[in-house]
Amino acid sequence: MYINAASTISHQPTFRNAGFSSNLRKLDPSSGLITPDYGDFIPAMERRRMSHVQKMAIACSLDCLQQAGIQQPDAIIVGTSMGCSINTKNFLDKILAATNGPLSPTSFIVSTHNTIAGQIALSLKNHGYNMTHTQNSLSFEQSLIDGILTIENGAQNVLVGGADEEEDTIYNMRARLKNEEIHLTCGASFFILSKNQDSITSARLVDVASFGLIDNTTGTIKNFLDTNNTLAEEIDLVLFAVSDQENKNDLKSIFQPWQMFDYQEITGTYYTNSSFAMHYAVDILSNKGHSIFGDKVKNILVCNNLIPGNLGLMLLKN
Amino acid sequence: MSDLKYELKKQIIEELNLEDIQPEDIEDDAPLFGDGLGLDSIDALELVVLMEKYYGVKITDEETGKKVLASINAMSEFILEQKEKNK
Repeated sequence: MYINAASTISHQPTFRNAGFSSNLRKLDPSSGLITPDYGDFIPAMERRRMSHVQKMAIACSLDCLQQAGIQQPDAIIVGTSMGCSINTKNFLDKILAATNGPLSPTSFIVSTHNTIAGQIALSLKNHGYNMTHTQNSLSFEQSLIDGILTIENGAQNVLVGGADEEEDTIYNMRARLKNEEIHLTCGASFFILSKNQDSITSARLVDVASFGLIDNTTGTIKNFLDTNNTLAEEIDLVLFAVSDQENKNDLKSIFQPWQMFDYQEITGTYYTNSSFAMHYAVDILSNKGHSIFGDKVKNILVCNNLIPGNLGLMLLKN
Repeated sequence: MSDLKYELKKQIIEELNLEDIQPEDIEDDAPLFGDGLGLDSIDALELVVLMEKYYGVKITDEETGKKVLASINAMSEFILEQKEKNK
């Protein structure tokens, strides 16, 4: 499976900036989203109902299609943990404020998780397979697996992405319920997965796996590498996100410290940030810039252990 | 421009998030849908909600909706007509 285009909007200068991996700095979580002029991608009459997450997703999707030189993907598959959380909050506010009058239909329509993939399809006038996966911190990995299966079933090019937006209420609820004062960031990363290698291919997606309720992280990672005939020492770079020190120690028992990089230092925390990590890996492998990890990186493992018990693994090669 | 028509235009712009449009840009007799302001079917539902929310006026069937939501003039006439009936 080949990655023939990648596009990210985030708190970092990633959009339309190939080679960005060579000059990203550690993220200040309170920094703002760096966005293009959405007017270049979405007509005003369509844009007016969209929140950040929808606009990011559409801009990245159109950028990917342009990079890959294709008009229509055979399928659109989106992973999102929190969906259109800003619109969901607006909808709930309107329910609370309503007395006997009717409720606004728009707030409901644009607050569902599958609005994102649906809006991309409407924007492209695409009638292909359209799917949304919401599986907490593994939403993006589930989408990738669906994308691979779709290609194995005959599709040539599939648009796959991960997207989430920050919303203050969610931050406040987490702070109160779980005593976690994590400043959530947001972002969207989209890719064209293709059956065939091309002159524009940036990297090869060798395998993706997602596991829930695991109690043996090290064994699961070792099995994944074994399945792909890859030794731990052959991995040039492990891009990881962990929930605690214990999980980090699990990784340290397999990999050397110089192999490991905590991708949340550049992505910040949101539940589909492994999609940003995958674009980071693709950018390093495509070698368009001069990566801080050197020019000889050939094998990258993205290890998403953001939530205890949830493990997403993606193996990429150049 | 009557106060009612001006209010309607302001409410439509706010409720439908019509960026970059001012009340003065909307002609009283211009079609709200299609070639006019370019509203769509979701906007039609929003306008039905708006009429009830701000003016206590209910649009209960499709035919009335098509007639009443055709333009600012048609909306304001319907509101005044319903108020007269309920006096």
